[in-house]
Amino acid sequence: MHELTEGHTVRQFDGDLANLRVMLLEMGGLVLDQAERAVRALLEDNAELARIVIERDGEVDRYDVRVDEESHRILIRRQPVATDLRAVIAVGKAVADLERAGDEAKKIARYARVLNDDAVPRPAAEIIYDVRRMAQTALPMLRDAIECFDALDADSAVALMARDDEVDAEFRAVMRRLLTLVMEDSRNLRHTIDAMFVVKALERIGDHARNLAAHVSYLVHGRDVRHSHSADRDAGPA
Amino acid sequence: MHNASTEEAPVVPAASKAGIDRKPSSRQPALASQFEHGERHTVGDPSVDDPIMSAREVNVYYGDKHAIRNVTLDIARHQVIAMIGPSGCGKSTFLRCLNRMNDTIESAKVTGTIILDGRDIYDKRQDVVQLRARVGMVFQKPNPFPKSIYDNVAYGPRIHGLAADRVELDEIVQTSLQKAGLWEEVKDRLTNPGTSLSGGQQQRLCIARTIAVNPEVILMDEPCSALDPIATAKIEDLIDELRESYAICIVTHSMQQAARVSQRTAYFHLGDLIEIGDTDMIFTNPRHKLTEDYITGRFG
Repeated sequence: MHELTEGHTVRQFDGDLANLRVMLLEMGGLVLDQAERAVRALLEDNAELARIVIERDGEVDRYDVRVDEESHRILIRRQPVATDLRAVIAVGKAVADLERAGDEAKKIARYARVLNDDAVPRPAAEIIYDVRRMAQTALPMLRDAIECFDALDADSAVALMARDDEVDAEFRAVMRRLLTLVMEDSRNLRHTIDAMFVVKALERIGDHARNLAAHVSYLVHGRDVRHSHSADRDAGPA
Repeated sequence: MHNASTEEAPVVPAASKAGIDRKPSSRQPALASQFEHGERHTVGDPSVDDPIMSAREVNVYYGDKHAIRNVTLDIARHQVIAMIGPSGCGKSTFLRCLNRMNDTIESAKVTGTIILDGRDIYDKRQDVVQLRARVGMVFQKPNPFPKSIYDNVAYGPRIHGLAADRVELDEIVQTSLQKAGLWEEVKDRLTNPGTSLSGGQQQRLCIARTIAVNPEVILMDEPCSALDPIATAKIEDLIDELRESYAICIVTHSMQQAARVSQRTAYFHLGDLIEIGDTDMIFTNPRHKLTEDYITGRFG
């Protein structure tokens, strides 16, 4: 977002946009951190880590509010147009997606805490395996999406959107395996249901990463590719 | 007529982030260099279907100074086109070509063609007084005649012989003042001098004066610059109504005003028509870097 924050005749405008950029990237880093820690808490059976994630979700929400306030200020004060306007709009949308991704991380952390309770039997190894695979597919997407925003890289953003198909495919495969588990042994039911929620949360994180990428494309090219077929996305700027 | 609409649209380039590995720019290079190297291509389509006026390869020289450089654009019927650009870019100069007001400037030379109704307005046989009735103009500083409100509006119709008698003239005056949104405020004091009105009212009087001679096009050169926000809003509202009957070209310094009142926007820069397009697109996603820089306030 560098060139966006330079060169305005009214220099405070540069400052306002730079501020917005910084807050967005901080929030992105925080949410990514939350997601990674939540998954680790689950896989390592770490209740303390889970608790931290749940508490820090409040920080994510505070970023949500602050960025919105700052965006509104810029809209009122600067009446932005063209790229500046698209930047403010895109950041507003990105922040909403990050906030939801943060919520998904919290859900994962909650499940980790439940699991940690000694009274609850350990989930089958297959379940842990599936959660790990899902995380390895979805979390790098979130990391890369945030990086696309930082670099304003619309080409990579478009490529990233295609990866959401991988996440969805992985999700469906995992769901099938989990169902098989239950059918093999009905004692797996409880954990399977919970695992499905976790895997669903990770799939949703992948969706939000995809949305972030779409917002980058909008910011850079002014094209709304959120609901377009992948062939249209690859067509490039309008 | 040449234009760049069939070429790949140039997009604003990304700056590089010093000292940090960056992925290759996903933006294409800007057109700005084209103008520097002597080629001139307007971004966007300057033509419209069934235009009311067409300017083709218009150049204006003030002595040696090349003030308008090969500008081609159409004026659409029932639409407002805004002309924006920094001071000295030529937008007012171009506007003045459309009703040959540049004729009054000794050193001005105009080349190219401007077609109104199938005829070049610079044709030697063109009656300039007639032209200026068909293509009316409203100026930045309201300039009512030192006459009554009635006579201000009646002046044009009188000299053009548009009314057979006093009754018809009264009708023209009333209709014009109504269309200009001024009738209710002045109907009981038509004999008062035009100069007794407020700034905003005077400007509306000037608009009524323009309308009274049945123009096809109304040219406006920063019509609200001298007015307060409320008067400005009233004029903008009026412009929106007027476009049902007339084509309107408005030169404005205010980007927000251009965005509010116009359907098409043309960006001028140092005498060149850089970009022209739908107002919404120009202000959300301009295709030329110079346009983007100007409207976002990065210019200079």
